[in-house]
Amino acid sequence: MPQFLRNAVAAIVFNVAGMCWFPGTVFSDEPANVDPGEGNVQQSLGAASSEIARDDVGRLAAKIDALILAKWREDKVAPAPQSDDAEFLRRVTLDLAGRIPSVWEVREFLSDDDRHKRRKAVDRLLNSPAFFSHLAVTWRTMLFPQGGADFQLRFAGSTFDVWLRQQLIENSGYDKVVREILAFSPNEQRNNGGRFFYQVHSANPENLAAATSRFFLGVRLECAQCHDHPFSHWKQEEFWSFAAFFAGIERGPNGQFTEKPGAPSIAISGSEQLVEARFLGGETPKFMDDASPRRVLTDWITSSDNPYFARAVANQIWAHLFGVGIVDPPDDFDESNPPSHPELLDELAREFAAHNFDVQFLIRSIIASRTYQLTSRMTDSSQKDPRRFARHSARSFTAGQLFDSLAQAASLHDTTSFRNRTILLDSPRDRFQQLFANQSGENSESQATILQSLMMMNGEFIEAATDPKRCATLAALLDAPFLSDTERIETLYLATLSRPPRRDELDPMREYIKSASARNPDDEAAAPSAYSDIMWALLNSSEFAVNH
Amino acid sequence: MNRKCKLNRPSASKNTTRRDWLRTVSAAMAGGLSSSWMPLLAADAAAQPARRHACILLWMSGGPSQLDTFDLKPGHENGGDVRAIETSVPGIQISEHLPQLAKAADQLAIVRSMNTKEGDHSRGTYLMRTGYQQQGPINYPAIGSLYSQELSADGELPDFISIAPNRFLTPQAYGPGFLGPRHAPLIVGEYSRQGSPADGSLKVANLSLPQSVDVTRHDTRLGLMAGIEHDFRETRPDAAVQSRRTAYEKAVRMMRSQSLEAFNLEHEPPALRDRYGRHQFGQGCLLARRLVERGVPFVEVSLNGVNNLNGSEWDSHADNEETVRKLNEILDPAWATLMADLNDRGLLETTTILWMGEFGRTPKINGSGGRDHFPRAWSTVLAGGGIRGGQVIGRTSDDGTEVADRPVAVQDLLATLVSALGIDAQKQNISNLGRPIRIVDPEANRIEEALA
Repeated sequence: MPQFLRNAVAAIVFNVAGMCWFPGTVFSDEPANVDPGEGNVQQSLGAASSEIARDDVGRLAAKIDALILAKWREDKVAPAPQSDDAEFLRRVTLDLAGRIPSVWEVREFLSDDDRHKRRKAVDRLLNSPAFFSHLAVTWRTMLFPQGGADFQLRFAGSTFDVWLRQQLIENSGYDKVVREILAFSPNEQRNNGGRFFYQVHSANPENLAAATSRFFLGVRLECAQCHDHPFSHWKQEEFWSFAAFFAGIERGPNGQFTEKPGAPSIAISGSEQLVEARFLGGETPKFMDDASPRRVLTDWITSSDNPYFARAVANQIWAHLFGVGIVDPPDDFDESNPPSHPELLDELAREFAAHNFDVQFLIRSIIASRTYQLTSRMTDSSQKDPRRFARHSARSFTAGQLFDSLAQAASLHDTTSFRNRTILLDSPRDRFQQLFANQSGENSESQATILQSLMMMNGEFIEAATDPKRCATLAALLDAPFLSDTERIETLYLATLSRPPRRDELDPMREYIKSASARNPDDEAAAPSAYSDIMWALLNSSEFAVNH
Repeated sequence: MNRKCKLNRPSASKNTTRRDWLRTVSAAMAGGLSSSWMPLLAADAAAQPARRHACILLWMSGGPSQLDTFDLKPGHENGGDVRAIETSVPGIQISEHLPQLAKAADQLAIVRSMNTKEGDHSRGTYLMRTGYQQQGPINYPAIGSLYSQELSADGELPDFISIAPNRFLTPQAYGPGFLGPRHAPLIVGEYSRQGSPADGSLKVANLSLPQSVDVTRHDTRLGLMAGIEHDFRETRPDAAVQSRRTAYEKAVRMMRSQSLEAFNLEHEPPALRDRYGRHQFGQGCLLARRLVERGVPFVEVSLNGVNNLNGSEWDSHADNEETVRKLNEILDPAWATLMADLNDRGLLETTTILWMGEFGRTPKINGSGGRDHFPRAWSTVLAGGGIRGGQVIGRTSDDGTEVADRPVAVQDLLATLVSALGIDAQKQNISNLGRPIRIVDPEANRIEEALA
């Protein structure tokens, strides 16, 4: 097929998709929360982020690889080879934008012969609105793991997403986002993320302390709430003196917050013993006149020599990109749960802090490493343990990744019901969330269920996605008379698995189409039905439904 | 979390890959593929698993009034106008609007001294349905997920089936929590519409093929899918990939299972269906019996409302008496017939029934003739297998505002249920925070006298 026709077809698929489906566009039903759009994002990011010294990214990436390699040598591991371009693009798009790449994006990427094209792809994704949406939802899920169980989260969680997303766009430093959440003051009239954080935890000091230590410090202090921690050194008194930082904020009968002045202290539950606020590790804080205890705590958490914060966040980001943390579970730093690569974690934390807690710098560096770019194909049994990072783990999609990827693959038209990432009851997205949501937030553990399989095989959404008339991807392919069967099959593979079919896959598929038409020469629907079958099989295959 | 993932890797060698697939696809093209895709289908219908205990939870969405059901206060101003009637057990009285249950009181262990701490719908629902207060990041499983895992006999139907739940406020109280999605309930009859036939909605979603796809075509598609994913699956040992095959096999097995017959209520004698009541709840109880009969270990049926099938009508803040009377008229025949029907089939002694909502109602009647949320002193009922019926457990004060004797906490109630079901209460599961959690809190005290 001549190149110009090829381009025309690519344009068909792209345009259809582009017109009706913007996976990166969220919260479209709330005018105040309209997506800021590409231009806005770049503007607010400013030049700073893109001007980060490439050298630093390269240096950290090399350091990651050296430390991982050293451990491979020690453990006699033969690592998997590097991912090919298609596997890399799919993975990085899922990790950063929360969906699979479009046919257009895959074609562009595969035909680009710039040797820096992987880096360029990462730059493009990190500047896209979808990145900030995906990151916001990912972090909200980690920050509030109770998810849809909580009434306020269920109905106002999307407001928090919008707020957090804006913070992530405006603040390149993650410490500033944390400050906005933790150092909340009742005098602020703004309906910001901090207010939401304190609301969800009903301003309860114990719950606030547990959530803060788990998410921002990677320490599960709450196990010491009722008694001394059985598996680690945390003492009950330490838990309560940490909780005391949150004792100064109270909720009135109408839900309004008030500040209780004075040095914060709290009684250990079930006893008369009063303890004063102390940082983890026992250091006593200095309270100034005008700074709230939460402010003082935030300063301690986000200071560059805090031993927990940078490690905890670096590890979360690592776990997001690999499916497995260096400390795993990622929020369980403890002597009984040591890191797989302690030196690497130290290095990531140090660099993260040295770059003013710039999340994008850390993401760029990790993705630039050879370690991240390994294939998920197992080529040696020594690669089996995911904590060796000797091949990339294959992980189930989150509910959001699956929904957005299906819509992307099929270019489904129905924008009103499918576009929204907010939690709408009984919307297709909500039903997906309920069936597929991994409540514990830990992808690597999730197991496929019967109900999910039924929905993927027989559900209305899949029916639409494989209907030659309603699925715009199929319709565009079938309507283009100049396309050969080979080209059509190839496009379906690109749209779903984000790679072209191998030779040994192409032949039987072509055969299948041909014989379907041959058996029913008078039936015009024979070929479309056969394509619909292939689309169905692709969408139901393991390769489609995992991030690998 | 997945430090050691167990693998179930098919052992087919590389060489057979392509040949198998070509055979699959050509067989599919000839329209004849069926069992080659899944050995499970062929080896199916092996021995019927031994029958174990089953549990039916009758869930009263909104919080039922104890004062108008099982703990009346005749003569006291808090009692209202509802009359108490004698039951088949001398000395036990219940509401006049539960006449059939009154006759079956010898089967019931009425717990009148529930004492819990959550008076908010969402949090109360979570507490009663999981056994734990919602606190911090631990995702506790619904007891249906937890117990069905223990009672499972690996049948063709899922182990936990939830009929007509109203999950609106607290979806997580209906979920598998840290046990993972494999233990999620199969849900039927959610989002029912008023006026739709009582049983029309009690079907499994996505169980039938779309109209344009017949079984042959579905086989073809499965064959194509197997070919597409073969190489990928062979080279990715991750649980995310490997668990899919089992899930698909089980799903297809269920789609084609004889057991699906359970959902065809039309096959029941119309007279029996009438006895259960031609309301969604009545027909749901009938479905529960049919499911238990086919080996499903945990079934729950929600009674959400008379008019609004997705509501929480037990939440009688206004006009309590009339509201509860109407609900009782649905509850009474359905529940009584369920016990009689199970008994007729010899299933009652291995089926334990628990009746409860998220909390009770205030003894004092408010200005709108309603009763508000009240977790301090309220009622639940145990019946059937493993339960010694014909008794009342605990007592509330004359005005109903306090537990006067034998307070029962949620974990005490659940410990009793678990005992009746023959589940090992001390077994541990690992929570999402890596902490082991027992089936029942070790500090719980089961109600010994309620056990047979």
